[in-house]
Amino acid sequence: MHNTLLHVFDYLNTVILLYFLAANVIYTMLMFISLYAVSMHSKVAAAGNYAALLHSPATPPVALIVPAYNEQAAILQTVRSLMRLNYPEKEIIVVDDGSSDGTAVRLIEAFNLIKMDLVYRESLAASGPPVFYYNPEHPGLLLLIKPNGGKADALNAGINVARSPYFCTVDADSIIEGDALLRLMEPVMSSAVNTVVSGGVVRIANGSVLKDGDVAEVRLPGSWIERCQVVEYLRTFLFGRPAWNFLNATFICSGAFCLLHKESVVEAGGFNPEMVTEDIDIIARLHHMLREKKWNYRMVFTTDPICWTEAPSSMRMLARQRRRWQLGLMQTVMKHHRMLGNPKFGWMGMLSMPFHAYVEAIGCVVEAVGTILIPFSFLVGAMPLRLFFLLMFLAVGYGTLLSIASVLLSEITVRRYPSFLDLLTLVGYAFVENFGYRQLTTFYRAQGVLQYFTGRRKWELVVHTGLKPQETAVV
Amino acid sequence: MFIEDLESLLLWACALVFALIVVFLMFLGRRRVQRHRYFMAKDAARARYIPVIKDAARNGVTVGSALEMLATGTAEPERVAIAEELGKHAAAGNVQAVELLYGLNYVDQWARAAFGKTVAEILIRRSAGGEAGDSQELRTMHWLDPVRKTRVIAIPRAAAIENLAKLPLQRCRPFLAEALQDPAAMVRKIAVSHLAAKRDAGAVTLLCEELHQAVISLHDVSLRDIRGALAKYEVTDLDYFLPWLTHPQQRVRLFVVDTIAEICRKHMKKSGMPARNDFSPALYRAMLQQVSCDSFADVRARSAHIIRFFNDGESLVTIRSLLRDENEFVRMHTLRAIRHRSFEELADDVLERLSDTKWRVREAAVQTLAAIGSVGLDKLLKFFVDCTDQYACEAIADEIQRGGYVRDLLAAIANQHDDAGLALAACDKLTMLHKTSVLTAALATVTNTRVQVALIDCLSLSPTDEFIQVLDAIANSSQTTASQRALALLRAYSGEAIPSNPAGSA
Repeated sequence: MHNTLLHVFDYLNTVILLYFLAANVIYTMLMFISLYAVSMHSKVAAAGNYAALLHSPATPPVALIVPAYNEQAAILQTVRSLMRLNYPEKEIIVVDDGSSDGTAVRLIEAFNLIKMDLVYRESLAASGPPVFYYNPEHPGLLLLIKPNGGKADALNAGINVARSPYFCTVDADSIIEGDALLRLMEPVMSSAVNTVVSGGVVRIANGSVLKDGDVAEVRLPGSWIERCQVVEYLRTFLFGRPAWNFLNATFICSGAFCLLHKESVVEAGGFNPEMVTEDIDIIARLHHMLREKKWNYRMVFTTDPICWTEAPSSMRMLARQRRRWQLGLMQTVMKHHRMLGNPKFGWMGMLSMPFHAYVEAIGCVVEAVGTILIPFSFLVGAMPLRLFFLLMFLAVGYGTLLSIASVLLSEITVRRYPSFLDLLTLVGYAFVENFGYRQLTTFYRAQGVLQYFTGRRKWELVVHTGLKPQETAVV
Repeated sequence: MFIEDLESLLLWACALVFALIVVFLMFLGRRRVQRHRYFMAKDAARARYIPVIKDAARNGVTVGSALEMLATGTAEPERVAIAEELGKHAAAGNVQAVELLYGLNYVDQWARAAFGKTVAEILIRRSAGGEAGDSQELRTMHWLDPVRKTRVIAIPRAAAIENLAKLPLQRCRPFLAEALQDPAAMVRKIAVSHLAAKRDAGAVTLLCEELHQAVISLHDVSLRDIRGALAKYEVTDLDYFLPWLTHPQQRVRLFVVDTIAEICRKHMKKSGMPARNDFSPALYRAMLQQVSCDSFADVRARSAHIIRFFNDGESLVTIRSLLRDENEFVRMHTLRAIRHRSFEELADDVLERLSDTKWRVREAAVQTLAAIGSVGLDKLLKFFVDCTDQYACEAIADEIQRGGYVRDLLAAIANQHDDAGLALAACDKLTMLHKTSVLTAALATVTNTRVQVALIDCLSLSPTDEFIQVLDAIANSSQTTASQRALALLRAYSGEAIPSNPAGSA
């Protein structure tokens, strides 16, 4: 009996080790591609003449769509930061998705918005019809109040009233850097083919000094959970995505700050309210639609347009966020499984999609099992002590290597942490996050996968406390 | 055996990973320290050399002695600081700064980085002599193009071209023209942008040829980039574009006309509306006789944005015919083009378009009428009051609300202007269309009793819950005609008999 058990452990451990080997080979490739892509882009961006874009007649108008649900703490700051964006022609559309707090009231009072009965043409299905609030003295701002239907539904309502050929999705708890929209538009402008998606980087604003609706000084947050998330965000945005972009196989662009071509999105049927992460789904659907129509298109991800957001500061909210993200990823990869290994979709089908399905989506389950099984194998005598320690060393070492590579990537980009102490702290957390934080997030993500298979697919709300504009750091 | 092999493999993997960590950490630390040192050295170089460059630029010292002093700056941050400062002066046309850039071998260094030693020598000779030369004859080694396209190799060339573009037009033209032959899009994009920014007459041919290539998708510089660059020319340069208005490729004609329109718009923003005399007779004739009758509808549509500036009898005739064009986009663009007070004369023609079969045209006509001044607005309101077409009414109601014209309507009622009757009728029409929110919001805030009474009468045509709440507030306020009217209405409503028109509104 004991022998059989040991054989089972051997077999399982081999599968887990092979999985880790394959995943880490891909991660290593992505790391080197990202290092090349980010450093090249930083050189181009450093010499980028964004003032020319600001005055170019060819720069297309953009609608900034802000879906908001119970965001009274952050909404004014977000709208003000959007109003200050350097961009020649923009319309800001805030969609209050049936908030029960004072989200709409705050906007109405701050901008003296008047209720109007405007024409609403529904090119995409959305719950409603919405009530419009507008002030002719602020012609760039429109508020829509509609019954609650979820973020995707709110985005669809916003698209229905947008007049610009491009729209940018912006989370209501975000702060966009002054020239981030121009930087996001730059690859669209300089592309000889139709660029349907342009994504930017989302960074954590907790701890940074906020002034006049802008991040005046980049600093690290105070709590360990937020600091670990800073390292994690750097890894997510600067590590994998530039590499996939380099291979023209972008699969994820964060909905917190993403520019999309309106006509293409409308043709793809808009955002799907059934999906909990509508931003991942729309990218996959656009790939699907455009490849099937054999259109020449591009989706880009660049590292210099920055959107600052508030990260969860409690374990409860972090757990909700990670479960939701994982559930959304699972929904998307399962829904678009036809793209898996399909050469018709190029790198997207042959590499990006399998990676996101088997490593990013389901991989967390293998990782969670491995986290439990390998120490257990050692305890039951199925693994020698030396091997166990070597595996642990390698896991921690490799995790640290990836995180330090991300810190290095952030150092190459335009918005780095200016304080040397912050840099050292980041390096420290690149090591520390391997003890507890990674395991916890793996566990939450595995819960998300389980939620998918058990059919419990509800949107878990992450409550934000709001970033406080002040002279000193928010800790 | 397997375990031992695995252990040894893992040991090596651990060693490799930790070695990489150490390398990355060292790189991270080195980069921080180097950047700090670099910027310190650059600041020091600026403090040391900027006074010398400024002196040389205003002839305070001879170029020879400035060369001697600046030649001491040999370290990288020093050379960058000197080049940046000299570049600023050279871009402003300072001859001494240009001489210094040549004398300190900056031009030589940039040209070599951009084109290689052999081609650079020829181009420097041409640049110094102000010759144009033929770029095509210099092209060699095409087989290397795929490699030269890669970013890691193209970026230094792009930076070199960016630097060379700081020279005055005559000096930098050979370099920029040659850069248009570069295989990398980022290099060509910079050349296109600078050639246009310098408004070189000869460059229009090169740039429009680039445009043609982009239109027929033969290369990878985007149409938007080329269009944005071409729009850097001024109204006085428009004749350079004349030959391209008859190009056989219709999309080239479209982008050229669009560019001319953009140049006019830019001029309008900067120095006011261009007048007919700002355009040459040749361009004037081309626009009225060729472009406005082009076989490609998009070209005709864009022509209106230029013809509008001619503002004479002949141009008005052309605009009228464009307003009746068979293509809806031509009609829509023409309406958008004449959205200005100076086109009051065309109010009736615009009014005609309110009954257009296409909603985009109707919407544009509404906005144009509202924008061309009081005559237009008056006609718009009259049309609105009598209009029976649901879609046209919706479009006008939208414009009345979004444009803030309700305020004007209420002012007319308050002051008993001649058009007070029309204003009241427009408010009634809004109510009949159930567009009452703005009027209700106005009723809640307005203090003029006459306006209050008029709004109460008008809104009572189609009472809403919000209206009744406002009525309640007015009824409970101080005794005025409005509060009495509100009270009477509230009593009538509570008796469950909602009067269809209690006050006999206009």
